[in-house]
Amino acid sequence: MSSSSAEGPHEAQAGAPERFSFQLPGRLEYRDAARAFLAHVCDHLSRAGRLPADAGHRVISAFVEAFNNAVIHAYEGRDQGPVQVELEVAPQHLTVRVIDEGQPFVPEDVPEPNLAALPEGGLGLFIIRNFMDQVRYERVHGRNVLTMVKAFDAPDGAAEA
Amino acid sequence: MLDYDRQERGDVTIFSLKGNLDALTAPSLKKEIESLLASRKINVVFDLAGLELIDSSGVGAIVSLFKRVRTLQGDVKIARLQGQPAEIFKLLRLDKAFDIFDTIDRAVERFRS
Repeated sequence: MSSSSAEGPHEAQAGAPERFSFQLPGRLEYRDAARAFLAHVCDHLSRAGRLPADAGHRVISAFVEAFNNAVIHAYEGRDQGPVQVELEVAPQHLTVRVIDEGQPFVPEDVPEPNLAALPEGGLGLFIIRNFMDQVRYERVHGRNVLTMVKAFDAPDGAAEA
Repeated sequence: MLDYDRQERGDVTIFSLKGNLDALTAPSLKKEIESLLASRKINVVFDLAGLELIDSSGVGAIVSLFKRVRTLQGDVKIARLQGQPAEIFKLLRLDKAFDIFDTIDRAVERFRS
């Protein structure tokens, strides 16, 4: 799971997207291994002037919530299966995909939190939706596939939308 | 991984958090919070200079403490918010709910004023 050197693949601004994929046990203690790799990618993109540091923080926040949801909710009450993490660095965007084999969920059924009431839970999907430019959930062959996209040229106001 | 240092300055308790406050580590902080409240400490400063990551579970732990000490006429103040936690605070409008300070000293002083 090690990444590349300073002239790594995410420096390649043009051309085919670079893809990374790895599978982890669906347990929280493994999440930071994937997060460290994603942070490394975001850091390179930041230094290349393609993704501001605060946008990188948002991508990492969304990934963390997605991984948590897979482990805590999708595998709730059943054997912990794997969590597949896929990254794609394209010229104009970064895609992060989190895939689990747990129970399906309906994102539309998750209510928007009332922030004024200072909720203590139910914030994960809200963070994902607000920190990423595109979010798509699909159930594919018995797996939950959450695809999150951050556009490099997106206005910084996604979080304030 | 979460490390925290707990210091008392008069009637103010300062928690300096280092590492991740998340679904994995929030339960340990909640235990610490229970012991805090059991000893009637209701004025708390969270120093977040060393906090690398907070997730929604970590937010839940801080907000839970905030609500409880408020009912006891205490308060929670935040010092040295930065990085990823600052993004989360902004999105969830916690920067409006909490008093946030650049230094620990200023946060502690606010309890005196």
